[in-house]
Amino acid sequence: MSYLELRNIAFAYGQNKVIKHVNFTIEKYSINAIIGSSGCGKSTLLRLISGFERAQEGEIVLDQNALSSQQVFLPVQKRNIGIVFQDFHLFPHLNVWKNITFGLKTKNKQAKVNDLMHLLKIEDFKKRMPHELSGGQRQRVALARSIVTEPALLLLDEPFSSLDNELRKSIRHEIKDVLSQLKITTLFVLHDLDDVMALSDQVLVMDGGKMVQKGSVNELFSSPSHPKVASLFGAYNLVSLGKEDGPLSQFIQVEKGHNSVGIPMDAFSISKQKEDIPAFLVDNYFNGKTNVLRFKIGDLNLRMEADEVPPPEFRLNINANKFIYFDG
Amino acid sequence: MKSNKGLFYSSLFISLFLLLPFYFLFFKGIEGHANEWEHISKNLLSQYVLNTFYILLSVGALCLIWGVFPAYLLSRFRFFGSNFFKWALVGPLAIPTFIMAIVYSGLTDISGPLASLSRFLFDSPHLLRIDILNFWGLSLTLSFALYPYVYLSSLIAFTNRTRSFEEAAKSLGAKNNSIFFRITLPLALPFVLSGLLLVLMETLNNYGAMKYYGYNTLTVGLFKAWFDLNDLTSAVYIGGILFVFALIMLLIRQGTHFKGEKENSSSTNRQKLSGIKNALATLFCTLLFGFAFIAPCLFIITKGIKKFGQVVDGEFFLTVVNTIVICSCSAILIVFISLYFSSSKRWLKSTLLRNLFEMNNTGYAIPGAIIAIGIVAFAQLATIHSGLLFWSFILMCFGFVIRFLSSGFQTIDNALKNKSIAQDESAMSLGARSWGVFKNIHLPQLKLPIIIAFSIVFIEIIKELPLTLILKPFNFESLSTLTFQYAKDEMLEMACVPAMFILIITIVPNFLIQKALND
Repeated sequence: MSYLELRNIAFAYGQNKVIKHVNFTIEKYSINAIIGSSGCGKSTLLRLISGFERAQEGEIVLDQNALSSQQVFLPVQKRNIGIVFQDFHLFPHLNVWKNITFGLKTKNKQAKVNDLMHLLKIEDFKKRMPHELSGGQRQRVALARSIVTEPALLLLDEPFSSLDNELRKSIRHEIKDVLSQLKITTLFVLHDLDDVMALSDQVLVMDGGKMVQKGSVNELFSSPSHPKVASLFGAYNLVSLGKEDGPLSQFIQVEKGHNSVGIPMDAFSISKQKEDIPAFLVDNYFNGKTNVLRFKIGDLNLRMEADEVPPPEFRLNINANKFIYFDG
Repeated sequence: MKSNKGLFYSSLFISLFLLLPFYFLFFKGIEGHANEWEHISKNLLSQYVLNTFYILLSVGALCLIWGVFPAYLLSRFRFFGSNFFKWALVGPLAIPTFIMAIVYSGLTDISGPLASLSRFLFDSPHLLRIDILNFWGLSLTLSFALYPYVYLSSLIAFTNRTRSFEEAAKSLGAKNNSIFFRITLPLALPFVLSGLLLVLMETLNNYGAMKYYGYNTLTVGLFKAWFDLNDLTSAVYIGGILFVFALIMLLIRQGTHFKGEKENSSSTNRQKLSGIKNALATLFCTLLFGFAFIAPCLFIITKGIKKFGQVVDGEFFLTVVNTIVICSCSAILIVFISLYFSSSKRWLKSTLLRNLFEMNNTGYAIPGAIIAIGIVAFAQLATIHSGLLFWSFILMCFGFVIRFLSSGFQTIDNALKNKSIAQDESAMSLGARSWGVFKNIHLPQLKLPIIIAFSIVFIEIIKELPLTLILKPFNFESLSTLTFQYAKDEMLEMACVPAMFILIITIVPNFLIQKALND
């Protein structure tokens, strides 16, 4: 049974429709990530779930209790949802201990707070003020503050955006371990694909205020059902088809009546046959595993992977069976 | 930046020059002979100190009520007229403190509108009349003129500084009352205190209202020692005590900073009030706006129009021109020095200059009367004849620059700080020198801050009384000294004419500020 459920949620700031009839569910104890480009409504969705905004349509249900609907609107304080904000928002006038224990109703949970601080490796900073902490330490304090109250759901809004690359790599694994150990149902808003892959059991992809696809990282990689998903997960060349089937049809037969086609990079192979499609190498770089070639067929700019770098003019084969067509 | 020795030494010279009156003040205090000090310290000083303390306390408390409460209401709730009140409540800043005090004495005296209304309703002038020429009346009128400082700083704090932390507290289950006292108030406190500090400095600096209400504070004592007892050295001593008051307030303010705080706005909408709450919020703002702005403005304008013909003549227009010229010249000078200092600070990274600029910026905390005495002492030692119009004009500008430099400097320096240093480096890599970077890169981007700085300083100068009173040459009047002169001579209605001109003239810089902020 689903744990958090959003049914037909719609929200607008004035005339600006930010969330357009979004539906999704997440399972108990799972770690989920919402991903999408800037302004697609990810953070607004988090504000609707947490109760900072009220959806104009639809229903939000957590553990079979309605949080928000046309009749019900539970205030933030009563939702028992922990939030880690993008800039952490640690109270600047309170030390680390007071920040973490701020939301505790009873103060006799010292042992529990100490355990949590130990788990997050911040037990030595109890007396420090927020400005005396590094970015990573602040991140851990913000997490501790949100989970010490044993929230029914934890929301994290771009929690790694203010950390440098090295730190985010180490901290995301630590956070995943803590969340799994404490069994907290979690919903991240993320924009970095590495973070998404490292953390999530389920990924929800948003575009233009709509939820366009959800599934495991594997599913989204292997079978994107929306051009946004294909473009986000990066292994596809997105080519518009349009009414005349687009420029691609000069070189290979494409199905009619679709808006665009996703061509995976492994659909191309370098050929020595003179009758195959002529291509021109524009650029190439090594991505750590193989060579990524940027090349042109006619006016089309495309990418493929290859073990060896071909000469500036080369021929290639395209496997049309690997094409994925999009109508959206 | 290369070849900036000239910039360093010129900045050093200007900065030290602006501090000169304080050295002279210091030496005057050490070397001078205080004939009347024994009499003052034995019979008057304790009263001056206590009175100053009490008036600071009462005005401060009232300004906290008038300032913090509406700021909180307007940042959190929507109610009838809330969008209008948000900017309208700043209005009283256009009315100089001493004029507010004079106007309220006029509103409540036996021939004023309250007495007339009472006469009309009850056939007696006394039933509705309030005696305002006392400590509480003085406190109330000063608070009406000064509360916008607290209101503005609180509004900024409640709108931009505390919201996201309140949201974090809400997500942790805290109730609204608990959030207000544990999060909102402590976080807003440094901002509220900044506004309060300005209120207290203005109160400390005030001469016109205190003198008119017959309330002897340290500033009034300073004037009395100098002009009535003819003892400049005793005036310097009193100035020293005033300075200690100012210093204590500055130190309290310094102690309330939270490190690591930053701007934090949130998209949460203001909650809509309805029913009785809506009515009460609107009523509170209407009454405050009515008493602090509409009533004094109406009084000034009606009386001003009535006496227009009796006061306005060729000499009066000369006063208007004098006022505009001296305010404009001083404001332009302040803008130039601010640009110079901000650029030096940006390029030279000199700790010495930085500290000197900090000292130059404490001028706002020093009562105008002290600065004026320092300048007079400087003029005496430099054998400048302050009675001559030209030199008086220069000395007055000098005084205004020292007192109001911080208002211009903060605005321009903050704007320049926001421009990435990479801009300068890009320009230099393309061959530009310091002057070229300043002229072609900084100046075009600083147009709005320059307009804002000029306008703020212009308004501050036109309202300033004690410094102008001390430094003005014989037979020279500005609009504020003329207003004070009429009021002192019990010609209240006549005083409203120059007061009305002050209101009219400040419309232009106020408009410029609004326009610049909107742009």
